[in-house]
Amino acid sequence: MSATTGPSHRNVVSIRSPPSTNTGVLTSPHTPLRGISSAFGSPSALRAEEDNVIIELGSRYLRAGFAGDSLPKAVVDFGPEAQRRAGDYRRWNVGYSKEWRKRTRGNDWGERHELWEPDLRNVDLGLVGDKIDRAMRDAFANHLLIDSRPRRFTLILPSALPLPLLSTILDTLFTNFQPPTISLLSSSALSTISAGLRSALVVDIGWRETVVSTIYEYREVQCTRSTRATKLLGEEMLKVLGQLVSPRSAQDLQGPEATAAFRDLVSFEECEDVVTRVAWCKPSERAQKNAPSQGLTPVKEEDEFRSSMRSLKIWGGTEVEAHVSLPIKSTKAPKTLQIPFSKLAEPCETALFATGVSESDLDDEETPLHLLIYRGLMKLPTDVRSICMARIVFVGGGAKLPGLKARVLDELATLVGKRGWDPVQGKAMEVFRENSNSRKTRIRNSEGGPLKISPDQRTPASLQEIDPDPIEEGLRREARKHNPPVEAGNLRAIDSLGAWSGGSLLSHLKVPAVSVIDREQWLQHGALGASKTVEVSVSSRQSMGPGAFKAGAGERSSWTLGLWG
Amino acid sequence: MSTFMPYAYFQCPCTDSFPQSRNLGDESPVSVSSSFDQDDRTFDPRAPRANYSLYPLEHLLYCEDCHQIRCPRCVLDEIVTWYCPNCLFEVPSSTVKSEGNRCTRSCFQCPICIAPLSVSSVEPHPEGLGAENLTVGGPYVLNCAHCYWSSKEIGIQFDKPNGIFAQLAKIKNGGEPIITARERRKDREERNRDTSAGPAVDEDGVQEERAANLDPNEILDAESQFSNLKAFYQSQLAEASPTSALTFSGGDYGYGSPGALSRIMGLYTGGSFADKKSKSKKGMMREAQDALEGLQIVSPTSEDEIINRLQTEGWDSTASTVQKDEQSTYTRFINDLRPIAHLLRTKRAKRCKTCRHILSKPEPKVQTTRFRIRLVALNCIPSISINPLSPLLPGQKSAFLVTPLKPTQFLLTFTNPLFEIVKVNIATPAQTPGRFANKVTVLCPQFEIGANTDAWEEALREGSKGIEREKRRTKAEATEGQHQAEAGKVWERGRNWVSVVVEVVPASLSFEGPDFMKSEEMLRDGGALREDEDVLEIPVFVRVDWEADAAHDESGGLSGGGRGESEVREKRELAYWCVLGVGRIAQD
Repeated sequence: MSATTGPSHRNVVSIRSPPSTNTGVLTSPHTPLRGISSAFGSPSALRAEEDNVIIELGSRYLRAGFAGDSLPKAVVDFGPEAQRRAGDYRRWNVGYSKEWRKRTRGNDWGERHELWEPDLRNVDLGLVGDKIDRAMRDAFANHLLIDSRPRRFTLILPSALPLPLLSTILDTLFTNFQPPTISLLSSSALSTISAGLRSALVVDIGWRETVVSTIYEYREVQCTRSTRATKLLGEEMLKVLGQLVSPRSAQDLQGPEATAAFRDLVSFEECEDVVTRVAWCKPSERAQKNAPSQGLTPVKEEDEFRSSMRSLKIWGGTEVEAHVSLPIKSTKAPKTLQIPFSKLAEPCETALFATGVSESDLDDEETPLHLLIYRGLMKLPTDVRSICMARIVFVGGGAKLPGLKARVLDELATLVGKRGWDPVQGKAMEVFRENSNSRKTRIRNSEGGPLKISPDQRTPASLQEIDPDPIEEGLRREARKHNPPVEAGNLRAIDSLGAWSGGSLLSHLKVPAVSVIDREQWLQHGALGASKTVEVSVSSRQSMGPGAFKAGAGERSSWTLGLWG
Repeated sequence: MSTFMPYAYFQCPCTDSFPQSRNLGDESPVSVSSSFDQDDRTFDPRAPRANYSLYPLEHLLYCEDCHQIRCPRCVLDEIVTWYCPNCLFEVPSSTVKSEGNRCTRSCFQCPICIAPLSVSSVEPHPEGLGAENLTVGGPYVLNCAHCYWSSKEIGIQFDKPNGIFAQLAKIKNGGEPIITARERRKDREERNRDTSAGPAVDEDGVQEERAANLDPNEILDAESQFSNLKAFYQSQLAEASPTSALTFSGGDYGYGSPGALSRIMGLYTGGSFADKKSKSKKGMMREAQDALEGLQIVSPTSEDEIINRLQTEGWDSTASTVQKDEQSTYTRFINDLRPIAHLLRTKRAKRCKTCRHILSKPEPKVQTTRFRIRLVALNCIPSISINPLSPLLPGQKSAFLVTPLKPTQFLLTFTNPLFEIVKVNIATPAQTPGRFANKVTVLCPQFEIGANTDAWEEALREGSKGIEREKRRTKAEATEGQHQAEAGKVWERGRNWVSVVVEVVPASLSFEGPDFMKSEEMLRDGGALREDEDVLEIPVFVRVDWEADAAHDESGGLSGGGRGESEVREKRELAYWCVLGVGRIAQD
């Protein structure tokens, strides 16, 4: 829904025409680019309707809308109610919601809400196709209000989507919706674009996993992931709720049995409702000490338990711990739980930050968020790191948890302050670091005998003053005239509109995707027909002169799946 | 569930064209043998994919040119009209494209309970004589008649009682005005111009109003951040590569741009024409610098306020998942919810995907519910209804609650909507697939159903009672107390319907018992009873064939003279899977 106002004829103009007719800084007279999609360059907006449908697929939601919209028009989830037979209206039965226990039996927690799970061995790809098909039809018929005339699709996918899944998705879209072409775009790069950046560290806190991908100059440089994501958060919340609902079973049972018992106590939907409504994230210890967060000052460690108490005093303003009452309807008898407010932040602690677990006990795939980002940054080259650490973009459902962004940034600053960018760490290293100064001098003293040190060489080269380079200086000065200085080196989070909006922006601006798949070619060859060149040479993209139009018209002999191939 | 209604679902034959189920673990996804097996494979109504291919008969269409059932997956839609379901106003397609998919008049839904909202004045109603003639003025609000929510709660009031959509677009929750995209654009132009003075005339010919001065650090909503970003990228693209304008303007060759012009000139003069300035400028696109360009830096304390509010106001101040889903932007608190403009609906015509013939076409007028063309499957394939054979016993709660391991008989009644005599073959697997194998026997798998002739015709035929009596013989026997259905014989027969008996031995739903008694699948995944597993569902493969007038469909009334030609009979055949939900198995 566009929020523009006024009579419709005027709106058409205001939407389609370029927002700025004067691109100020340019001195030479210059006609700006038009964002018109018609092949004949007609300014009539009404005829220029070959609207491009942008589709973003995640493991739980499908977002769809038109290019140029700021937000998707349809967000369709893959919940169990959407997967019933046509004409099955049992969900409107009286008492239907009471019987959720029967429905979830034999399923993993939240499994029925997923489109796919990361372990593809258990995934029926045909079923995935069916689900996508139904969700797309729902979106098209009820929200986008378009018919089944062929339209170009832009598909936004997570960058590490397995090829079988990609192939299923494309098969479904091509056979059931007849788009002439589908362009593939990676969600992390788009999140960068919709934040207005060229480079960023995109932290996507999704359903099954948190993915930290480094985008440098619009290119994905690195990607690390962890299973600490919203699903785990939900499960932890379930434990908290379960313990409150029936404290007895929590005591009797342990481990997986308890979790199984809790699953029958509170429904998935209600648990998720609690997570999205009242869950929050505690600030880091440093913020609680009310120290102004400045740069990378090192901070002492403090034990975790006091933190929650303190946070309450800071925010609540009262000495008594505030309680929140949660009306829970899915238990056997509806209950209102009185829960201390600080308890609602605990799932986040355990699920996302693994508080109370020492780093050495953690597996590689369950790295807590701040550590994941820290490690991701550490692996980067210094230049990229300094740029990216000032551009941390949080996206995904988990990023909506209040207080999370500030917490992660603080934790990160603490880590950096403590360890620097040194990959070597541990007890021995700490001891070594403490002694290093004295040892260095000792070594120097002992070896100093035969070696003659000239006065110039006393300081190592890395510590010496850099000689001023007049040419470099001049170049920089020149560059600064055109480009404002680039923010780098300090930690900073930036809000992004999300991948969908980025995709909408890009296709509205007519930026071609690397991977554009033609329908005929896909149906003929499938995924095997794609050429394997992942890296598309820059020269070939820039040299898109008039020849590019022919290529764009679908006569390209080779095509690629880009990142996914 | 206390009640159970028997049902019949039909599988559209188009399912075969969909990609086959396969798991990555399988060695050979599509081997020759598996595709060969396909005809023999019984359809499993409990497979997760079955839900997507089964439809009630009422949802299906029938293409008379392909002679095939058409389900919603194998038809193409064409929109006839867009309309608002609330005010029934027909919305032209251009408005849908420019204004989006919502009603742009005054139709709103309550953000709390989705009931329709009504506009009413804040002023009290005048009382006394002639009060109905007076008009109520003053600020207006949206009211919910169901939950008594009012837009006053979110601090929104309107000056006029009509055109609420446009008014609402200008007000934030709390009453502050929204800086519209248009004003932002003005401001941007203002900034870029800086030196040039004097009132500029807008492209619409409207005198420019004073643009609001925007704060470069303001916190933008999604809409304005997007428009700022869009403007920023557009200017960057134009700036960064004026010469390669072609790349970005799609089909537009961009000869209007001086950059392109100089490039063309440069083709002949060896590039000296391309001015150096643009060459030097042709650099990288830069990043967005501030909020005016769409950059939003997260301040570390920005979310403290949310946490504080959560703590003090608690659960009731937050919006539920359902309420959030209805909103276009992410909202956490109830106070941030906005009235939901009604989503438009469409009337759609359906075409067959293969032959592109129209299968259904509604009247374009919103108010009418009539159809111009409607080829529903209900008129073309026999419908199936299910009834219990034996009358309800005294202790039995419902006829469709069957006892495990006790043979139960059901009556399947096939009704023929066609004007021809139809031959029907039905086949069921001896044991239903799934964890609980119910034994199924159809006592009469082959029969003929009479044509759906005029009711008058039958009345006329009543005279020859002899034949009729002959037909009803089996029925007569049943009423005489013989409760045994005979194998191979139709149970009962009418003008255009036939009832046959199907006998079911429901499986026991208990998981106890020795392993050798369990089916293979049960051993594999064990566990508790899943949803709907106690429903006795029988997959039935139905084959219908009949002889139809070949000319009947093609030329309709045109073949008036060629009576002889229309006598040519054509054999038609339809085959499809059905799923019959006959009852619920009682649990011990």
